[in-house]
Amino acid sequence: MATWGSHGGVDRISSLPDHLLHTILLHLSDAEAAARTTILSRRWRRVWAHLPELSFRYHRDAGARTWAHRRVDAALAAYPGPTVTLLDIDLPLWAPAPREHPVDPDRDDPLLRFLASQRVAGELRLLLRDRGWGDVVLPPCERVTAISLSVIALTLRFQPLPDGGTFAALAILRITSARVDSRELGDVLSSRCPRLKELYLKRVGLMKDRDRVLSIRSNSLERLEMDMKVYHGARLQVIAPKLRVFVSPRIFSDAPIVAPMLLEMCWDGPYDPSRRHLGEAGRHLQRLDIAKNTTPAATMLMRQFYAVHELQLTVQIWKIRYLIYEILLVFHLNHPTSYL
Amino acid sequence: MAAADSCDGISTSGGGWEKTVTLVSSDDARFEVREAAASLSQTVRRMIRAGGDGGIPLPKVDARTLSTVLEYCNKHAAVPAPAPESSSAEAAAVDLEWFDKELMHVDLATLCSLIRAADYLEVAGLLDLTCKTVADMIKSKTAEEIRQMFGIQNDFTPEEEEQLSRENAGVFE
Repeated sequence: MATWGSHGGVDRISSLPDHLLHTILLHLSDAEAAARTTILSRRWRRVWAHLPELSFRYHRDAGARTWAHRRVDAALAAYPGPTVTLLDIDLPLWAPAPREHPVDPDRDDPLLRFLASQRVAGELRLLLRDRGWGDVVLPPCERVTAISLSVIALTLRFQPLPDGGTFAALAILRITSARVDSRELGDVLSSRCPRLKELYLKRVGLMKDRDRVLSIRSNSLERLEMDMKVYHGARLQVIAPKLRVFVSPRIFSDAPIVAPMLLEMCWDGPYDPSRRHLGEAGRHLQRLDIAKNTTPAATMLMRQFYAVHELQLTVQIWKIRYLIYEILLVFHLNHPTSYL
Repeated sequence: MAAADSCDGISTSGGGWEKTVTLVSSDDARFEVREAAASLSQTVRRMIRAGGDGGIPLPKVDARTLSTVLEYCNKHAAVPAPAPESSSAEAAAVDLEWFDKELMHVDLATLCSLIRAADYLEVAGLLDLTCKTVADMIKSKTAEEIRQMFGIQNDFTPEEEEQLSRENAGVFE
């Protein structure tokens, strides 16, 4: 820790250029503490007003449960700047149990108001652990390019939009540990994310009282990684002409996938051609990873492809001789130039 | 090769031959430093690539500040990269942390000079360290405590202060 002698009345900190004072404030990882510097002097008021990123990382602070949400709300309400390039919120559990706080859909929420004002032009990271109002309803964020959402023990909903608001600039979407309405999510991905390139759905569950069909139709999607809870009867449909990478460690039982440009794939779980699994996928892969599969499924899956430049197999060891035979048969004989 | 022109010499260190470069501070002090350490500064790295004779001029950094910056660079460039989970990696990390903490035992004027120098020289690790040090001082302090610590003049009129309090009611609770 630095120690101070007399500073001789010279205010050296305030004379640093704006971008360095911003760097100092960003190292607080607490935009509310940054907001409080607004009262120091006119100089600091301007610095706070143009802080390019707002970060609230309260997850590790002891006792944060009692004050974290109030501080986020206060700082967002006070922020006077026109845009931020990053809004990063990492909150601990909401202090009172949710059932003690009846869900009030009309509650004025500074976070959602801030998002709806389209002042985030860049990245949005939200790690919420039950704010006590049930659903997290995401308004359309026209200027956000990357979203990471983790809403533990909450349901992620999207604001229905009669006027067709979109996630116009969104290129990367990561949803982790959330419950979603599969039809609603499918609609948003298919019709309101025209520039979406990468989609990650990890530990995402589908709401019970809806059709468990996740249908993604995207002309821009290039990478799809999923690790979802799989329910009996749940279906995944993907039509993605530009999809190059598909990773699904736990595949849905019924999953027709149309991806003619596919180059890399990781597949786990049952493979069944009669269910149109990979009905129209590319036949020439750079990389195929078949994880923890049964031997017949693995061999059937391998037969889908004419050539694979890199193959990674995780299979039951006692069937390995049969499998080696199949590998030779499928790849070497079908396409003698490919290698393992 | 142009890049070799700004390399003044070759020295031994730890049994190996290492290239050195000469950095010249604003007050014309010359520092001979290992190229690996000097290259932690992106600004210097670019200048080494561009080549030139007679040392690399750094007109925005005085000798006193530059020597502290180089102390940081020498220490951080010296650390080899062992396996991330080995006990020696852990020990090295603890040692570096200790070194960084000690380096920040400076007065406010020096700290501000280091922030400006780290920014100009683009030494990302040092910029983070110095800015974090100031941020830690701001944390959990009242406005008046921060003003006193840094010598900040409150130039708001009473009316403006009142307006600020109204606008930021939630923040100042």
